[in-house]
Amino acid sequence: MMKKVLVIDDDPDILDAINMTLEGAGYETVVTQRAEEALLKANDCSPDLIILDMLLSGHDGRTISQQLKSTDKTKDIPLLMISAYPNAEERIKAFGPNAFLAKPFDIYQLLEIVEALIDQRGTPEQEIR
Amino acid sequence: MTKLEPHLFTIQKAAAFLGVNVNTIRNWAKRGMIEGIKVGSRGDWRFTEESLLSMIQKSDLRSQDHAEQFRLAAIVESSEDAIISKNLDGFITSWNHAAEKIFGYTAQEAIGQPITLIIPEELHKEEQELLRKIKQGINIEHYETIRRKKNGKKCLVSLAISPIKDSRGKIIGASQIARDLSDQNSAMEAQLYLAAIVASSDDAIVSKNLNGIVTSWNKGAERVFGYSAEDAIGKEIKTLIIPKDRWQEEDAILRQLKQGIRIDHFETLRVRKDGVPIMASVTISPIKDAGGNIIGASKVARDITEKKRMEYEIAYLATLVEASADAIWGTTLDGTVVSWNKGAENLYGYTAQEMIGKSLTSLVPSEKAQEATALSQKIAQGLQVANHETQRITKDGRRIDVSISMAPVKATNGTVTSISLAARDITMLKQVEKNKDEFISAASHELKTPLASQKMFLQLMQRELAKSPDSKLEHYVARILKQNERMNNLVYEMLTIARLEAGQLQLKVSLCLLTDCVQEILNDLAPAFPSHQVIFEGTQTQLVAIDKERMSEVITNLVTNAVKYSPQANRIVIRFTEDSNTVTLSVQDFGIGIAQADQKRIFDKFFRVSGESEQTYPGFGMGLYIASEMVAKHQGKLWVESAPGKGATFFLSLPVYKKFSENKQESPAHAVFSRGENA
Repeated sequence: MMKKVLVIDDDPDILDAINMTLEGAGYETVVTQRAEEALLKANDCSPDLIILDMLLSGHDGRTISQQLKSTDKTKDIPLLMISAYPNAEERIKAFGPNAFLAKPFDIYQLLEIVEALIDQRGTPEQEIR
Repeated sequence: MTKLEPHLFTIQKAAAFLGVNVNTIRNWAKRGMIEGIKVGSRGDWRFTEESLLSMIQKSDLRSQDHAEQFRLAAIVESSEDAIISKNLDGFITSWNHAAEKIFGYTAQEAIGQPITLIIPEELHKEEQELLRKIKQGINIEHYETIRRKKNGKKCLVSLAISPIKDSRGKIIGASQIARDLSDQNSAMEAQLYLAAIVASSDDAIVSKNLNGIVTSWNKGAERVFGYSAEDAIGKEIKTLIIPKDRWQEEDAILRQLKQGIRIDHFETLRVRKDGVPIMASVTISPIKDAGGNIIGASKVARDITEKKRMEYEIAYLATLVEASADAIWGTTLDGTVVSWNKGAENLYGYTAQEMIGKSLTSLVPSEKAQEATALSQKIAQGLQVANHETQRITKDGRRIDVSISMAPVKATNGTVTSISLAARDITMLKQVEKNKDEFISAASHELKTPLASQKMFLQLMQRELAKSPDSKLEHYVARILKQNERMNNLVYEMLTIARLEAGQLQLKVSLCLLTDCVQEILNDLAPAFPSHQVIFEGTQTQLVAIDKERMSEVITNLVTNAVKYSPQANRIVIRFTEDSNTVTLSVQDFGIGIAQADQKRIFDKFFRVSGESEQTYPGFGMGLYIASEMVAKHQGKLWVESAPGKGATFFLSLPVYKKFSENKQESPAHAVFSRGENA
């Protein structure tokens, strides 16, 4: 079964590029530019991984991260945060994402980390649950 | 024989004639040693001149001695000076009439008593010393000391002390002649004392007569005005030391003096012999003769040029302090405010009246209290603190950012007596810095975002091309990707500079061997320049505390520059050296080199080397600037040695990591590391 990745980024080109990269690598993607849809989609489509930009127009990705991580249904979904902000890695640490990638990144880096995060989730222990 | 013979000598006259005591003559007459005539039943002896003369003629040595002794005794008895003798044990053996008069003890009271009878206790030692000298046969002349009278009063005496010898020349005691100086001295001494004061005074003390002619001129006057007493006495004081435009003042003074008016402490201008004007504080008093007539004036002048200059400077500084927009205040070592300028009033909202005598604690936010105490302790030890950024609370409760400088105020002996402080409101500055930081962050975010999608699309394109190869397109895409990478680097450098300059760049320090670090970098980097071989020389065994990521950027910069600026060469040399305090890395290239004039400037922001061949290289020229700033942040040094055409060698030295306890000078890098280690 295809692994599903939810991507939230307010920049349409980044969103498109990530989408193309993941689709090209055989992932099913759900994408949105709208921060307010993030939680809803995360709940609805039960993705295997969420990719979330740190700063979305009008919204703080960190708050969304916190919400995802404190909701039963979504808290175990691996969360990869991305940002072009300087020192973003330092700033998000406390908000619970599983990994961080600084923009710009290359597609091979992205694929590597996506694969690793989904693999982690697919451990037998977690499948039983 | 009742009639008096006029040629007969009375016993008194005879005694005088022979120079002996009346009683002695009487004895001689009784014993028939001299021919005398008894007059009347109660009458005394009379002597003929003949018998007296014969007495003189027949007198043997012994009687001459006797006569001499008698004469001396008479002298002693009639002397105005106290003449006392004592034996070698210090007991009084004789005591003349004057001694009675001066000291109040009769001969009967004094003889047989120790001489200390008349010596004040505190001088007993001196007496012992005198006795010792006497025993050695030394005369002591005109020696002034204090003696005590019977009534307990002390008096000043002048002593002459001589040893008394027996007929065989053995010292058996001492005579002392004491003259009472009390009355005579007090007057003369007072005069001498005053004269000495005048002579030794630092102030110029001069006198002049009513015509303004100098009549005396002390050493102080010589020093202050430059004229010797010889130069000055007899001259008109006006022409000597008073500037022409003040002559009227002097005339007015003379008029006042003639009326007996004293002129106190007026400050005026005087001129020295060398023409240099001085500020003087002058007191002028009339001098009166015994009859009370004013005959002149004394002038006491003090050179207050220095004092005036200092007064001026102090006033000037006080004005500066008061006018300063910065808050400037002073405290005692325990933090009590002793001065508070307008700037401080404006900054903190408290008036000087409200603050002086109070403690500063109300200004310090509670979480900064410990820090403030630590700073004060530093200052008390004599250290200075410059531009310490912290926060304070104003009277109206606002929290403001301030930059505080503190310095110890020291007494002339070097002890710290109080603390001077200056503070500047940097709330605005902080805000501007914050705005700048936010702008840079936003700008870099905005710049990076399109670069990020661009990069991904290019890589996607490369992936498509791998499926259906097209060498031309592949070449184009590779080129665009390279430019995309360059753009990314520029944004990264710009951000790094902004953070460095804002002091916001925090190092993430860890321990490593610099050699390992370089090896890692070269493993990644070397494939990018197959044209050059990297030769390693030397080893290092000591650890450094560095931010690996940042230091890697520095080393990468040095290595890529070495390759970039030596396109004709085929190698670069990386050398490791170390001593007990530093490890040094050098990167040597064999390229175009750097002109002497450029060697320092290459570390400046936006400087780019351009050779005579007009060869220029891409880049903003920020790389070496960032590198040197970054190295400085690691407490290290970065420099270059080069000659044009002979390549360049860049040196990077870093302090060897030493265990924190051994490291007396805490470097920030180590401090950060130490915290990390504990965490």
